[in-house]
Amino acid sequence: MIQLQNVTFAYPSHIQQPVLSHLSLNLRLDICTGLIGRNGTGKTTFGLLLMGLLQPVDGNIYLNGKNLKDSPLHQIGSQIGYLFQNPRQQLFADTIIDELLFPFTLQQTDSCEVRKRADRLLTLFQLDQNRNTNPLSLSTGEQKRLVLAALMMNDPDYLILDEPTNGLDQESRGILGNLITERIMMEKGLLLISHDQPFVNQHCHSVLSMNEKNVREVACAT
Amino acid sequence: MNICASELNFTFPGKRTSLLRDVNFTWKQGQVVVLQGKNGVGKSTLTRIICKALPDDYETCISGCLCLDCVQADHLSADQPAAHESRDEAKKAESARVNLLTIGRRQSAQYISALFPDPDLQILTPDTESELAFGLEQQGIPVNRMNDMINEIISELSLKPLRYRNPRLCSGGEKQLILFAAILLMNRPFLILDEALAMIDNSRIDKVKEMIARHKRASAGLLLIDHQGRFDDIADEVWSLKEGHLTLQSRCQMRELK
Ligand SMILES: Nc1ncnc2c1ncn2[C@@H]1O[C@H](COP(=O)(O)OP(=O)(O)OP(=O)(O)O)[C@@H](O)[C@H]1O
Ligand SMILES: [Mg+2]
Repeated sequence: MIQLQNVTFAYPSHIQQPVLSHLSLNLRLDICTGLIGRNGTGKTTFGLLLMGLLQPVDGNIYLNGKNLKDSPLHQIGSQIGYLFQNPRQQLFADTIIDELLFPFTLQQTDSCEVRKRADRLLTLFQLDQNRNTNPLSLSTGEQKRLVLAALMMNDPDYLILDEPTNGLDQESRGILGNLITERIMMEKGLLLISHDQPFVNQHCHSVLSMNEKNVREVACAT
Repeated sequence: MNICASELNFTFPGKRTSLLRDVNFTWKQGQVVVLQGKNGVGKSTLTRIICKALPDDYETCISGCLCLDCVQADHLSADQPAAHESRDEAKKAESARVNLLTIGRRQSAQYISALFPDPDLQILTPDTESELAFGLEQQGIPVNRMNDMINEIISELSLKPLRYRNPRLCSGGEKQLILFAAILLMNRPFLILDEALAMIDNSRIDKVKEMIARHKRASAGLLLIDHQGRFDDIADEVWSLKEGHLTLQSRCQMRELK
């Protein structure tokens, strides 16, 4: 469970205009939670706070009982996978295959088994045709699929996906949908930040709606 | 003015199969075109060829013809200095068609402006107001008129809270709204929006569509790519790209889409 207790956050450049104020809520880690709301209401900010990439100005966030303030980033990163709204910000390697393998090469944990997993994921996300292509030359949709594949290499307990369907064609949407369904069956939940109402309705068990003032739970189709 | 492609081909260096094969189209001013196709079929490569956004060394990978036909130059709206300017330019070129494959980037930018999916790559200035003023200054629009136009578009898209903010420090959807406003103010005859509105929330999409339709009536040509199909209902033509071939969807297929 992720618990937010009285969390307030403001960006340093606009310290007088908090994006989130006195927010308290619990997020279950075993279901798919949707997060919707208009542009600029703070959805991405919320996601970055859960990852420890931003720190609350006031209040605390607990991941499975542990205060995020006391958790090193890499530890949070090993439990939660995050797909950025702009996938280009999280692509580092020179080729598609290296994007999946480089963390393992760095830690010298690259193995036959790791390579097999990479192969399987590239096939699943339909990226196995051009595995030596530079990730930056891919389309947004393909970049999203690549980041997802790279995230799945670690098999994190929880996923935060910021606008995952942007740029995806119908087929890729289906692949993403299957991935979500499969993970929920394994009780590995996710937070789906999205404007894509049909997709949210299809996959989320609970939906949070964010506006300038607060976050509230809204009724949901499923 | 029309942009015409005939037998346009493109193959990435080192690749055996062509990405674009004998592509033909006529894209007219005053026409909204929606370009459809699966991920990776080459939609963005096509739009990048049209607006000269591909790296120079790819020039040799293109064959065929891509031209700007200036026969209808007089239809450009005459009340704005920019339109005059481009009309003069266009008149000069009237007899000879402009070959869009060989002209320079600056000249191409006189006719065609484009937005791509990643707003971070296209933000030019450190505050929203300057971002909006940029295109207007280029057109030599007087300061008073410029302020009016900026105020107008800011209120239309509800961008007031962002006016003095740094666009780089705005949210994803806010960045796309700012760039959308800026590109409309640039007032070029042809406009490409390549998945450039995907992050804009549903509450403002109708406004965006209305502005696109108005721009079209002011005789701009627009080419839109959107995987959610949000602009299908304002399209005059739907083009579909598949295995290198571009086909025009028939009218009844289009009606089904709607
Ligand atoms: N780095 C930053 N510095 C200052 N302000 C920021 C920064 N990033 C975002 N903001 C502002 O904080 C608010 C919330 O932004 P956030 O990106 O969380 O919105 P969002 O709900 O994800 O919007 P979108 O739907 O457009 O992605 C907005 O007003 C935005 O302009
Ligand atoms: Mg966001």
